Amino acid sequence: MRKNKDAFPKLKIFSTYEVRGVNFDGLLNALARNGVTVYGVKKIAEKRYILSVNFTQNRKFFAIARDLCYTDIKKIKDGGRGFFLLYFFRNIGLVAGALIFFALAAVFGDMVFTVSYTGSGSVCKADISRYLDESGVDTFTRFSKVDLARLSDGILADNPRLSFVECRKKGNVLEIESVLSPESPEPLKTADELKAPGSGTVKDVKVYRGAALVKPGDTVREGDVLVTGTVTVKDVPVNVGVIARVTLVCQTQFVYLSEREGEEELAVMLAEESLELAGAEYSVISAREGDKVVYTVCVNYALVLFSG
Amino acid sequence: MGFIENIIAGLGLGETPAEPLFKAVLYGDGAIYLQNVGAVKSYSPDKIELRLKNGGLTLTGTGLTIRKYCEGDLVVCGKIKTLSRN
Repeated sequence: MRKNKDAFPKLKIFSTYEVRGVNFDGLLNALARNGVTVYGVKKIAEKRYILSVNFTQNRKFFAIARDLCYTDIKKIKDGGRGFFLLYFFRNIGLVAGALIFFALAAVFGDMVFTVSYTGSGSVCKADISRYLDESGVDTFTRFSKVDLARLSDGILADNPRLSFVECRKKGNVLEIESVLSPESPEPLKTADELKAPGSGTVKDVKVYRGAALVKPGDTVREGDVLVTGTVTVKDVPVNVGVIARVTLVCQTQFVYLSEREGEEELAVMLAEESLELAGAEYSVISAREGDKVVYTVCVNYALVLFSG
Repeated sequence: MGFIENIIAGLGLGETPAEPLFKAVLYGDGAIYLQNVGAVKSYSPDKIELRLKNGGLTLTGTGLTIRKYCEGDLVVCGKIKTLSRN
């Protein structure tokens, strides 16, 4: 076929119209004379035809058709192999938005935003979290850089309390499912009761398990029971292991004999060296007995007793 | 000299005229390509009447569609039964 006058002959985008009216032949000839190529002319009903023109010639088509006796020209569709280009330019914002969305999804879809712990082994969350930190797995770490199977094995090997670990990617969440081992953990060492090793005044009592028999301000002697393991549950006495902490303020004395007076500081220093009580308070009094000077150093110190 | 012109000359049909002649190429009975068509006189799926520079041409058949038409070049597709000059 001879070369026609389409502006973009290779751009295969067509606009299809339905034309109603008389003198359809006149329209065809007018279009052809003016260099507008028509395609796919069909008669669909009485005085109704469809035809297609290249979309670049739409204006020319309407300009020619307007001068002829037609009752109605209705655009049916745009199409053709190159139609996607037209759609792209008509919806550039939509296409750009879609491209940006997919690009962001590809980038951020690969990132860890949060870690989720499931299963009975989630009580070991602190240990698992520490292992993740040591392995370099943190927020914004890329999933593509993490071998999830190897991470699962590592967490399992690191914590003997777990019998099963599986790491999964769910969107941007790193889900760690873990199961506790059926073996029970090592129990706490407890005693039947907590006794005072020496005399003193109770400063502080904290009982986690058991029953306190003293309160702050009470004076106790050596051997007195401070916390007992016998408790009453629904009027029934039950023995439990004591877990408690009691702080006693105790006193002791250190005596230093010398022939000279004025050695109070030396007496305190010797008491410190001898007793080695951290945080203790020292006070000294001196008295002459015959040819000797007796320095009595009174030492107040806190004794923390813990059972469990 | 073009292919058609060579044939015309070889068959001794006369000198190549100054004005281009009407030409028709029939592809089986499903399509026809026509050159130097003056105008489309009437169109229907059963009959297409064309005006040429000298006379006219009538195509009859069924399901006739004008596949392409521009500046004297016309392609008609469909079941073509007769092609007659008038």
